[in-house]
Amino acid sequence: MMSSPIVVKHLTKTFRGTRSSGPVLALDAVNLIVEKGTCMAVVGESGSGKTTLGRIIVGLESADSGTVAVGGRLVSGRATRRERQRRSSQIQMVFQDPQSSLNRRLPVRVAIDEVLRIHSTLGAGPRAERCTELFEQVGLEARHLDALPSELSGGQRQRVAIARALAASPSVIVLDESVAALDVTVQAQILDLLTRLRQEQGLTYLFITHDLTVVQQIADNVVVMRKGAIVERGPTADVLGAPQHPYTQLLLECAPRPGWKPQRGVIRALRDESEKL
Amino acid sequence: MLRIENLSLTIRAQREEIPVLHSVNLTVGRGESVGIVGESGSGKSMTLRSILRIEPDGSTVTGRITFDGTNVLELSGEPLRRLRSHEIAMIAQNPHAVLNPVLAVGRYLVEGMHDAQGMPTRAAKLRAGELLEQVGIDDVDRVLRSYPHQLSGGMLQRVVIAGAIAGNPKLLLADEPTTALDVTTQAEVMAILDDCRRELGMAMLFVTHDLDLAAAVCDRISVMKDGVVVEDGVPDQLRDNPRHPYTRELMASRPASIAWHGSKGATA
Amino acid sequence: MMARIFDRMGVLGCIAIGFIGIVLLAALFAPWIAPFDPTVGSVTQRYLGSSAVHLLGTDQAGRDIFSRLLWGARSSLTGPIIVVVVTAIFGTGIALIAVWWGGLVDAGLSRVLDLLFAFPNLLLAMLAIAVFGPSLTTAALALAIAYIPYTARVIRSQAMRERNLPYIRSPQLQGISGTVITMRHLMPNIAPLIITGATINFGFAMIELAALSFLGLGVQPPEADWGLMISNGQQSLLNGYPAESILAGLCIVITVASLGYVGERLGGRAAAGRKA
Repeated sequence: MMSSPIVVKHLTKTFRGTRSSGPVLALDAVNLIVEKGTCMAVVGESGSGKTTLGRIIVGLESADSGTVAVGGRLVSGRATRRERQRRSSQIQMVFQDPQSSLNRRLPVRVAIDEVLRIHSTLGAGPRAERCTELFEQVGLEARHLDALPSELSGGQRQRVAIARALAASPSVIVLDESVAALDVTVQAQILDLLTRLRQEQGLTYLFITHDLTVVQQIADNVVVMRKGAIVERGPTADVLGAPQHPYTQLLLECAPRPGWKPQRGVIRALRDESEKL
Repeated sequence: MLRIENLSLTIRAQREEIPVLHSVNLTVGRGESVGIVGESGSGKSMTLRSILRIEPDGSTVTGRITFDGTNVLELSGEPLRRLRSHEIAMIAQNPHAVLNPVLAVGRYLVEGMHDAQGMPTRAAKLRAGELLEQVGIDDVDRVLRSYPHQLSGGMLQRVVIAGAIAGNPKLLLADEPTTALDVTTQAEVMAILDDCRRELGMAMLFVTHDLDLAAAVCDRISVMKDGVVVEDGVPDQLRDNPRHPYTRELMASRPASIAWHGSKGATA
Repeated sequence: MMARIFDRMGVLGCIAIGFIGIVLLAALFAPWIAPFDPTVGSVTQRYLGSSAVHLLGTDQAGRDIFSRLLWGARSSLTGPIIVVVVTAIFGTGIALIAVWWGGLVDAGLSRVLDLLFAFPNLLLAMLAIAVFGPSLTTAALALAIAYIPYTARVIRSQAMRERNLPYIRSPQLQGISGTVITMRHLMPNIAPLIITGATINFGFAMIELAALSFLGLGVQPPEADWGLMISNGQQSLLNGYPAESILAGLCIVITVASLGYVGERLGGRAAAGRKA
């Protein structure tokens, strides 16, 4: 039997924090399994630990205890360069800010090309062809390859970042707030692109976001995180349709939607209730 | 009360004239709440800034902005200062940029009232406490003594709102005041902002990229794109019967609302 | 192109660039432009006033001041160039190593730099000269060592910020080597800072090298050097012939001021890690 692309067991991480705040528990014994070909959303507010979870899974951060297995192989805490290379052919990451995720002084082609160089034995010619191919997959034109990031729009830059992730032919992509910095109309386009790519290439996504409408648009399953712990999990329709935990209810209550009016009393009541648990 | 007519604005950058606004028309009545919804680069913030005459250096403004009958574009010096301190207040996206990091937030409020409204310091101190209570802060004394880095973004934005309503302005300009906040904090701050506005009978011009958020607190909404108001109307009409293709696209970019109809708490 | 330079530099900046250009040309073409040998004079020609033959007159040894100023531009520029190049290479190198390895390496390097900070620049230079003997190279290298901590500190903090941005993190996740990331991604993005810092350091180095020459610890007579000329002119000054000192001093002031202004427009003193 094939093992699940991401298996996280009992992952715990504490940050030293500042003198006034004291140590911060970013992850509190988190367990998570993402099945092949699905999109798992991790929802939470700032400080919920969702970003730390993603960073540990791709190897940007190391955990205090617990294990992470990507593609059936346990990954160690602090990765060596070789280990990173191996891991990156399995799992890739797309960051939030399209502004800073590309080197502003180099044509975007370089970003794709350097990944191809690491992950394939292709010569310069075939690599250039592959770059064009990848760009077409993410809805960009070949002429964009020689543009500087500043000459592209935010949405286009995020497409380049997705193409860079695809260049390594990974089976899993971690998307860290990957549409949060984009305008809603562009957001919708990028989410469509991501869904299409997932279906075409059988990719598995871990989508980290604070935005429930984004969850609804892209995720099959969702976990809700609060203060380093998962408070609710399940299929997206169930969690968003009939939330059990008061914190999930609070998040839903606070999400702007047609006919919505924010009410202090309601928000406060739900918040108090979720604090108690 | 506020009437913007044919407002156009171009910014000069590196020997180029970049048009930002094209004959924008907008009105805000006394006590009315009006939203401007648009994406980045639509000119929504620039419209707001022109009202207080804080458009970027080197920009050319044409058209008319009248506030209670006076043309704001012709004001300068003392009358302009008076407009900014007594008539119109503004809250911005990032409260950290507004608050001086080395002063306790209490001093920010007290000095604001002392300098702008000429209120005696002692009275201003009492008033600062009242204002913080008004924006839903429980431990007023602790917050007054805190420095900006000790408070959360939501707390700071409430302090800024308190400072903005301190002088009982007739109009509040709000430029994406909750964009940098978490959703739950956003909802709370919006609720507070809306309550305060109603209590004080203050008008508001609310700039956001979120149509649903604007619909929750605004009587009328103008949708902007590329420096042009493409459509305006009451929230229900915009949602149910959008006329402009761009408004339709905006609506379509968000999925059908989440099938959530409130918790026990919400119905109680 | 010209319009862009003008936009960036303003009127004063363009004048400053003009001055720097003149000094550079003088240094490059001194052997061809200079009407006289700068080191050979004649006792019969002492203290001549300005004339068609000696444009700016002669000094106490009967040497042509104009020729000495032109030749002086050479040593007065080579010194600072050595300082700036050495400082930029080592300062950047140390900063990037500290940033890339982080942790103990960073902490260790920072302590060493702090130690160097504790020595006044000129004191460090004089110490080196006492050991290796006075010459332009010794003085320049000694100053370079004194400047490295300033440059390293500024570049370290900028590189630290850049390092945490996704465009650096992402190739790192791919397993691309630190050297490649540093050279391909990090360097080009901190290059403007290095250049601006160098411009400002150039001015400081010029003044401090002139001071060393003035003290007899840099360029050795009879070579022509602006700092040396000021010091030589001292005696003439007392004899009522101020031309040599004043002209050499003016050259230094104008060059340093021009460089300082250009550097300021490029990015400010902050880039050189100096307060004022």
